[in-house]
Amino acid sequence: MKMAEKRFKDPVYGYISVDLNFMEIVDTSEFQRLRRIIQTSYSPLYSSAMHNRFVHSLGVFHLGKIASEQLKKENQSKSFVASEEMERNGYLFQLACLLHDVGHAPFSHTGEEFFLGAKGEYEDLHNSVSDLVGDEIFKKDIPTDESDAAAPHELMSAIVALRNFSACFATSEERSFFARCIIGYCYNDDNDIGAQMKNIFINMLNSKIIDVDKLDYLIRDAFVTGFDTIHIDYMRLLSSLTLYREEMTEKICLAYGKSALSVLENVVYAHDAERKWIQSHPVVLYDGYLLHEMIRFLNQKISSNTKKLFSEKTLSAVGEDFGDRGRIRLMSDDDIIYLSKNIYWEELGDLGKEYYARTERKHPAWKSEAEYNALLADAGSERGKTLNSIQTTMEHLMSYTMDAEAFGGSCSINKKVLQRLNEEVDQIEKLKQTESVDDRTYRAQKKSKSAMRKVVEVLANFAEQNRIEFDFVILTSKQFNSGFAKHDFAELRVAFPAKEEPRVFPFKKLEVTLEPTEAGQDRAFYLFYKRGKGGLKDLDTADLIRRLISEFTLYRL
Amino acid sequence: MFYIAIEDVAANALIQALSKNEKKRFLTYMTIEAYGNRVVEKLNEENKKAILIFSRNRTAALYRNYSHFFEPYEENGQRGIRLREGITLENLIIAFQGYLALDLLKAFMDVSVEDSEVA
Repeated sequence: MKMAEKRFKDPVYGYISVDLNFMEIVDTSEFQRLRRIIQTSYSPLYSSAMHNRFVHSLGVFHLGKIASEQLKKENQSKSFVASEEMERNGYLFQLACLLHDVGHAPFSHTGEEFFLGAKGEYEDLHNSVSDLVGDEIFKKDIPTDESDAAAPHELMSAIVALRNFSACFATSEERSFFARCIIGYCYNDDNDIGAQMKNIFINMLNSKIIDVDKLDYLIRDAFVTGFDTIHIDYMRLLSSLTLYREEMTEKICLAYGKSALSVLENVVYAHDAERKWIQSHPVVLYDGYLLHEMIRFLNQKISSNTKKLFSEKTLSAVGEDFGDRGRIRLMSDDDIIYLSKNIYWEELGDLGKEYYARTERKHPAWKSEAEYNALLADAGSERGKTLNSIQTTMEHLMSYTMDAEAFGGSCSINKKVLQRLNEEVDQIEKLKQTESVDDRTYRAQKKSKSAMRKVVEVLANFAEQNRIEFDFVILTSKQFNSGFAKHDFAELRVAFPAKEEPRVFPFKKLEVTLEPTEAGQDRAFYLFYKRGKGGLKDLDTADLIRRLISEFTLYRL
Repeated sequence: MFYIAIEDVAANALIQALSKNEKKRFLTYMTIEAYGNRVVEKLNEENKKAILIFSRNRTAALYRNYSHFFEPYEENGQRGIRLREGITLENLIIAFQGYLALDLLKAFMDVSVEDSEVA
C-alpha cells in the first residue's frame, strides 16, 4: 500500500510531512537542484551554515501548511468564502510555498540581478511570467513601474514552476493566484471577497512585514549557525491568525491574535539581531563582495547577446550550450565554482586566489560597528559633524567606486581612484568656467570630490608608511538592509476577542518598543586592507582613524 | 559600468524639475524610470555601459535610507516620489550631485525630465 505522505526529518521542526502529490514535485531535477544552492552567505563566519534552498523550501512549505490550515479554520467559523474555494486556495498556496525559490540563482541572492536585461530592465521576465499565466487580469496587475517590481529570483521561480509543473493548475486563474503568491503582486481590484481572501494568502508568503518565508529563514538560520538569538514560537504565531471584516472598507483582512504579541516582538528582535550581527559582519560582507565580483566577471565572460549565463535555460535540465566551455544545465553553486576554478582561473587572477585562500584575503580594519565607535572615541572624537562628514564621504566613495572596469574592481580604493579624482577635480573647474554647470552643482562637486580625495590620500599615505598595498575595499553595511522596516511592522494588526467582531489595533498602538528609527543612526562602513608580505601584521587602525578625523577637522570637509 | 540607483535617478530628476519650477516637488515613478532609461541611453551613445537598479526592494530601501528626503505619494491616481517638506533644491544638490562621476552627472543634466514626462 502506498504511503499518503513522506516525512522528512528536520532539525528545526522535528518532521516535515509532504503529501505524495507534492513529493512528485520534490523529486524532480528542477527541485532537487535546490540542494546545491546555499541558503545564506554566512558560512565564512559560521562554518556550519551550509543549509540550502532545498531544506528552506521544505520548511516554508511546512509553515505554509500550518498557516493555511489556520486560515481555513477561521474561514469555516466565519463563512467568508465557500469551503471548496478555500481548500483550493490552500492547495495552491502550499504549492507556491514549496516552489517559491525554485528559480533561485547560484549562491542565492548574490548574482540574481543578472537575470535582468542588459540595462537592468524587467521586461523579459515580466513577459515570460505573463505568457505562462495567460490571464488578462494578471497582466493588468503587473506593475508598470519597475520600482515596484518583484525580486528577479521571485519572477524566475514563478517562470520555472509554471513551465515545469503546469499539470498542477486547472485554469489560468489558478496559475495567476499561484504566481502572485510567489512574486507578491496582489489583486488590485479586490472588491470581491474572493480576491480579498487571495490577497491574504499572497501576503502570507510574500510580504514586506512578516510571512512564512521570513519565519523559516529566521528560525533556521539561527539554528544552523548556532547564533544565540531569541526563540520564535512559530506555532503560537501562526495558530493566532485571525480573519476579520474591516469596519471602514468592509473588506476581509488578517490580524494576529493577542496571544501572539510576544512572538511578534521576538520576530523583530530576531530579524534585527541577524541583520546586525551576521549580515553586517565584515567577514560576511567581504565574502559576499568577492563572490559577487567573481559572478559578475564570469557572467560578463560567458554571456553573449544570444546566450545568457543567468537564464531560465541554464536552470533547466536541457541547459544552454556554451561551446568549448561546455553545457550548463540545472545551474547551481557548483557551476560557478567549476567555471572559476577550471575555465577562468587564470583570467580571474587575484580575485580567484582571494576567494579561495583566506591567506590572500583582505582583512577588515575593524570587525564591528562597536569597535569602529570605540576607535573613534579613543581618537577623542564624539559623534557630530566631523564624524557625519567622514561617514557621508565614505558612502560617497563607495558609490563613486562601483565602476569595476574603471578601478579594477568595484568599491576599490587605489591609485586609479586617486588619479580619476584628481582629473575630475580639474575638469569640474573647466566646466565651471564654460558655465556648463551651475554654481551650486559646482560647489557640491568640489566639496564632495575634495573630501573623497582627502580620504584616498590619507589611505595612500597610511599604506605607504605601514608597507601594505595601496589597495583597499570599502563596504558599508547600509546596503545590506533587508526585509522589513520597523514602521511596516508597526502597522501589523492585532486582534482582541470581542462578543461579535474582534477589536483590531495596529501593533504600534500596543507596543512602544517598535518606534521607527532613522536609518542614518546605524550607518557604518568597513575598510578592508591586504597584509603585505613585508608589511606589518597588525595595523594601528586607531592611527588611521586619528588621521581621518584630523584631516576632516583641519580642512572643515 | 555605471550602476545607477533609484535614489540617484529620483534625486537628479527632482533637482532638474525643481530648478525649472519651484513648486514641482513630485514625480511619478513612471517619469523617474523614463528619465533613468534616457540617461542610460545617453551614456550608451557615448560607449559607456550603465545599468539601472530598480525594484520593489530598492524602492523600500530608498524610503528607509533617505526618509528625511523622500516620501511616497500619489497624485491623480499616479504613484511616485515626493520631496519632504523643508527639503530644498540646495539640500538635494549637496546630497546627490557632489559625488557623481562627471560623465554620469553630465548625462543627468543633459537628459530632460520634461521630455521623460511626455514619454
